[in-house]
Amino acid sequence: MIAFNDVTKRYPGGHEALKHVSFKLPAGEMAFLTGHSGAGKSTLLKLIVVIERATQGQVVVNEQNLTRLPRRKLPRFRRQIGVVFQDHKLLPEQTVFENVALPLVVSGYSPKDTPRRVRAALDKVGLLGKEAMFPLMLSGGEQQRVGIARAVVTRPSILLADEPTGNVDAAMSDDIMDLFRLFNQVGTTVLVATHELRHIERLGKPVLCLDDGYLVDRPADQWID
Amino acid sequence: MMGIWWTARRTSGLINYLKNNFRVFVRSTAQLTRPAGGAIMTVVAIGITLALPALLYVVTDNIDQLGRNWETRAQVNLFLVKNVENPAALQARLQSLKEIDRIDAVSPDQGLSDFKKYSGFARASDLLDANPLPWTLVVHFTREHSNIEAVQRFIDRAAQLPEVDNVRSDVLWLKRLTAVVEIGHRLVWVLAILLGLAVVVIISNTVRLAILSRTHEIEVIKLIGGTDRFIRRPFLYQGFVQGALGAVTAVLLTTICIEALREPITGLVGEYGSGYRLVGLSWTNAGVLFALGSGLGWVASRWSVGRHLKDIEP
Repeated sequence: MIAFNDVTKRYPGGHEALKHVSFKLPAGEMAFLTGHSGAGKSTLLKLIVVIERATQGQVVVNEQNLTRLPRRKLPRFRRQIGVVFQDHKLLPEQTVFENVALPLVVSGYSPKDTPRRVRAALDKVGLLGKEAMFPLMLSGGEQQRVGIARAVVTRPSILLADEPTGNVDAAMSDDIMDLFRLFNQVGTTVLVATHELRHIERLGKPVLCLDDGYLVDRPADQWID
Repeated sequence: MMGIWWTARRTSGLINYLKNNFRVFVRSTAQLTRPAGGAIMTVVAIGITLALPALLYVVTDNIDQLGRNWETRAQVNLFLVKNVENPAALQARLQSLKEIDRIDAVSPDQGLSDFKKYSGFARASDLLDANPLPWTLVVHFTREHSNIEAVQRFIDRAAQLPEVDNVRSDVLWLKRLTAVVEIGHRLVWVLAILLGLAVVVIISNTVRLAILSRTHEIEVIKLIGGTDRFIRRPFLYQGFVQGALGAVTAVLLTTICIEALREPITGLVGEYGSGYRLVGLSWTNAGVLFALGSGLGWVASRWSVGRHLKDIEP
């Protein structure tokens, strides 16, 4: 569950990226986060992963109030969330296998289980057999799917994606969105930031629309406290 | 039942922890060889830095050993006043002292004969009307009292005796040698501290560069829930390994230097009638150097990582 209660984020210098944003995304739901460039989509996602902290208001994720979450508890909290980035954030010197295995190593999973879990994640994104390749040997779409495999390999309860289809063609873009829907179907809470209305219409999922930091459109009333 | 389950879980957790640590250690060591030239230069720089105090330590240790070698054979010559005809009474009195091992009495005739034999002035001494030499007592100290303090105490007391005209000993020379050795020891400490700091600076700078070159990786690891401890680990191993390899290099360099000096020094001390052999780094000293190098490497990387890691956030 992700809940924002009257959240404002002001950056040093005075720019307000989010203004009095309130919404609630129940556990197991999927929603799109949309808005024009600079509307505050990335800031909203950063608040959920605690890359940034709210200036005002409360952000609650999986029953944890992030405004009060101490720094030392951040790593354990972040392990509950899988994040997919537009620029993939893969490690170019490590193989596909090593990139996908990284969250398992970080979380202290048994090295014996790692190959099985990595292969399962790669299988889900259709990249089984490319474990030994390096990210730069793959296409943009394949790199994005490695990023998705890395985000889901620990089976997180929440999956966030920031413009995951920004650098891929239309067909690949549909495949990636279908993957998110698939993960949502098995109970993962999914929030995808995108400005491509085509996906929103095709998947028919609720939308959170940001405009100049304000949440101007949100899903059904039952989502709002 | 719960107890067994809990113990099994904890044991497997510990095994996983150790396995992960071992993998990180191997990986960190392997990463040292990647920019091979740079890593080798760093290790050599650490090696030279550690070798300097190690070499000075070996030199002062050898001088110290030489001094002790002298001390084991400490002796004092008592030249008696001319009117002493028979020193037996004095000899017996002194012999009763606990610090004295034995006393050899050298008669004036024996003294003159030795003088002629060893001084090279045999003809000159023939010109003398009478033997000018007095009785001499050569006092040999016991092994446990062959130290500067005991010898000096004896000299002070012997000089007060009415039968004794003059006291001769190498104690002053030994005092100076001991002072030089003491300065050398202090110098070893000062150098060790200064160059130890240099090792810390070298390794912390290397680790800082390694952190900067892996900023992207650190950001990603923090994003997916990596703790500071997890991120720190490879850098700590890297510092430890660099320090340890630097120490091994220092041991090798010191040994090479000592071996290069061994022959000429053995020849030099041989000229003074000594069979002293140059002593190199012992296994214990090499072990201390290894512990020091790896410990400094660990401390330096811990310090550097602590300083720079908090600045990197996703």
